Amino acid sequence: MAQPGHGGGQKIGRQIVLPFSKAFEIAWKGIKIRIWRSMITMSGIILAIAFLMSVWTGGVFERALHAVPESHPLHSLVQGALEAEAMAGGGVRLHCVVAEERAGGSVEAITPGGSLETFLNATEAFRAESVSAEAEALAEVLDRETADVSALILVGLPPGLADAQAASLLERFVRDGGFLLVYGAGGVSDAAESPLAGLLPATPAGGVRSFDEGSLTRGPQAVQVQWATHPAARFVEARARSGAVAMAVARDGGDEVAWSWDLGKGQVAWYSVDGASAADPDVLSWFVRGQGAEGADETVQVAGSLMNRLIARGAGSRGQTHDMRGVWLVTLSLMVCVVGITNAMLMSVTERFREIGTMKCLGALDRFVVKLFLIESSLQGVVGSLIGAFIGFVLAFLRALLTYRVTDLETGETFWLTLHFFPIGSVLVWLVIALAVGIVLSIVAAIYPAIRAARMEPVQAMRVEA
Amino acid sequence: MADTAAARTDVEQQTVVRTVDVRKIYRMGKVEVHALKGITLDIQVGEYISIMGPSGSGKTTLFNMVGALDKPSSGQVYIDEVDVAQLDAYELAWLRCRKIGYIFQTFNLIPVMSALENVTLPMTFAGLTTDEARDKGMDLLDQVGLAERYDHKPFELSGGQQQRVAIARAMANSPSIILADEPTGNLDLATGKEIIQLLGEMNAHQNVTIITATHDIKMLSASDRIIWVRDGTLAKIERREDLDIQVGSIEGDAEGGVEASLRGTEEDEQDAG
Repeated sequence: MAQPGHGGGQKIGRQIVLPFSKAFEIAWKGIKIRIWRSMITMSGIILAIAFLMSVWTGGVFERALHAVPESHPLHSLVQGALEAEAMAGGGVRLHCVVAEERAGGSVEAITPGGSLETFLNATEAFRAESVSAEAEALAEVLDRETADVSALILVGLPPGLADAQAASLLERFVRDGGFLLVYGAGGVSDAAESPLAGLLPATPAGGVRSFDEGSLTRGPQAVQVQWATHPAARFVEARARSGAVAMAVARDGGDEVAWSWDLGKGQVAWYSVDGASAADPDVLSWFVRGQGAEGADETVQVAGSLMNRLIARGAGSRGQTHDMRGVWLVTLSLMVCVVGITNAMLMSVTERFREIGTMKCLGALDRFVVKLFLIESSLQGVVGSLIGAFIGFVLAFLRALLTYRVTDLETGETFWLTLHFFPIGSVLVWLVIALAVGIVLSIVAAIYPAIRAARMEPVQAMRVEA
Repeated sequence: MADTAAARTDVEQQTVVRTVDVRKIYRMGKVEVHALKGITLDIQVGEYISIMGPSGSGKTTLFNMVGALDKPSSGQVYIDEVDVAQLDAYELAWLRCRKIGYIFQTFNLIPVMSALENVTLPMTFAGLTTDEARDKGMDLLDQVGLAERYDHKPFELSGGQQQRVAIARAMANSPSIILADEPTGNLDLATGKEIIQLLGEMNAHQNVTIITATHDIKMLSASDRIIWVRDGTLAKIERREDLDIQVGSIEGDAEGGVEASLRGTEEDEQDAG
C-alpha cells in the first residue's frame, strides 16, 4: 500500500479502487442518518411488495384447503367453505330454468312462489326465469341463452313433453356442458318398470340397498321414484352411461335418497344424506343436511345446495381469468414502484450535489459513487421488502382467516380452517421470492440516479447556492 | 509571518502550480462568455497565495483551473509539472486525493459522519487501514484543537469548528497544495481570524502551499502574494511586503484598508487594540 507522502516529490499515481466493504460502510452510515428520508423511498417498495405478497399468499391459503384429503375429518367443512367462497366470489352466473309438473298432468309455467320461491331465494346466484314447460318454450329458452343456462333443473318430469324434442334438447344441453338435475318427488312403484332398471343394482324385492348400511339409520323400505316412461328419463340414463353428470333425487317418506350415475363407469352409487361415498370422486358426493324446514321446502333446499356445489366446481375452472388479472395488477404496481424509487433517488442525488462533489474532491472514483447509491438503494430494498412482505402476509392471512371460517351446523362448533391447514412451506417460499423481487427492483431503479450522481463534477461542491 | 519568506530563501524554489495562457470560454446558448482571457502565472512551493477580485472577475474560474477542478478551453495548467488536461479519471482522482486538499466556504463536511470520520475519509480513499487512519486523524484534530470533539457530527459543531475539521481533513494525506475557496465566507470576524491563523500555521510549519480565493481582506496579512483578477485577466500581483499593512490596522477600518491596498499607498494606522 503506497505511503501517502508529501505529494510534492511524487509523480502522479493512479487512484486505487476501494473494496466493496468500504462503500458499504459509508452507505450504511448514510442510511442510518437519513432514515426518515429513506422511509419515503421505502414506502414505495413496502406498498408494492405488500400488494405482491397479499396476492400470492391469498392463493396459497386457498390451495392449502383444496389439498385437504377426503380422509380428513374436517374435509366436508373445508369443501363447504371453499364452495361458499367460490359462490361469493362471483364470476359465475347461473341461469336456472325450472319446469314444474302440476297436478292433473299438465305442465304449467313456473311462477315464483311457494316452494320454488324459497328455492330461488335461497340461492342468490341464480337468475331464474319462469317459462312454460312446454317443449317449444323450453327450446326457445335453451336456444336463446344456451351459453347462459348452466344448469337445468327439472322438477318432476313433465309427461307432456314430446319424446324427440325433449330428448334432443336435453342432449344438446348436456353436450354443451350444462348440468341436468332431475328432481322428482314421489315414489317408484316397481323398480323393474323403471327405465332406470338396468342401472339399479340388484335389490331385494321392493327394497333399496345402501352401500353403507350403518349410515342409513332409517332405511327406506321402498323408494318411490316417479319415473314415467319419459324420454327425459331415458335420456338421463343414456347420458349418464356415456359420462355426463346426472342425478336424480327422490324422497322416500322422510328421507332423501339419491342416485347418481358415475362418469362412464355405469355404476350406481347410493347416497344417503348423512354420508358420502369415497368411491366416486368424480361425482358430487356431498349433501348438506337439509336446513330445518319440513316439507317441500326442505327438498328444494337440498336441490339448491346441490346446485351450489356444482356452481362452485364450475367456478373453480373459471379461476384462470382471475389469475391473469392478478398478474397484470401486480406487474403494474411493481412498475409504478420502480418509477417512484427512481424519482426519489434522483431527488436525493440533486440534493446531495455538495456531498457528492466533495467526495470526488477527496478522491472518490466515479464507480465508488455508483456503488454508494446502489448499496443505499438495495439496503432500502431489503428493509422495505421485509416490512412489505410482512404486511402483505398479515393482510392475506387475516382475509383467509375470516373467509374460511365455518360452523358445523350439527355441533355448533366454529373452525378457523386457515389455522388448521397453515401452509408454512409455501408462505416461506413466497416470502423469499418477494424479498428477492424487492431487492432487484430497488437496484434496477437506482441505476440511472447512481450514474447521474457519478457524472457530477467536483466543482459542484463549490456552489454556494443550492 | 514575515519569517516564512526569509526562511524559504535557503530552500530551493520550486514551482508547484504553473499556468500558461489559460483561457476559459463558457457557452450559454448563443452567447460566449470569456471567463478567463489568458492568464499566465506560477506559484512556488510553500507560498501562501490569495486570489482576489470582484464577483464575475474570473477569480473562481481561475481557482478551479489551478485546483484541477476544471479544464481550460485553451492553455495549460501544470501541477508539479504535469499537465492536468492530460490526466485520466483515475489520475485526477489520485491528484485530488493525495496532492491537493480542498476547503470550501460551506465547509462541506459529510453530515452523516463524525469529525474523525470526516478527517479520515480521504485517508480511506488513499488506502490507509482503519487503525492508521484513526491515529493520524486524531493527531490532525489535535493540531486544529478539536481532539475532544472527534465523535461529534457536523451539526453538533459551530461554523468555525466545522471549518477547522475541514482543514484537518484537507491535511489528511499530507498534500502539497491546499485549495481554500472563501474559507472565511460563512464565519464571523473573530472566527475568521482564527481560521486564517490556522492556515498560516499549516503553511509555516508543514510547508504546504496555500491558494485561496477570497474577498476577505483579513487574508491579506497572511498571504505571501496577492493575485488580483479583474475581468478575466491578471490585474496585479502584489507581494505582502509591498502592501505594508499592519496586522492590527485591519480591524480598525476595513474599508480604509482596502482602499489603501488598491491605491498602493502606505498607511500608518493606529493599533485598534
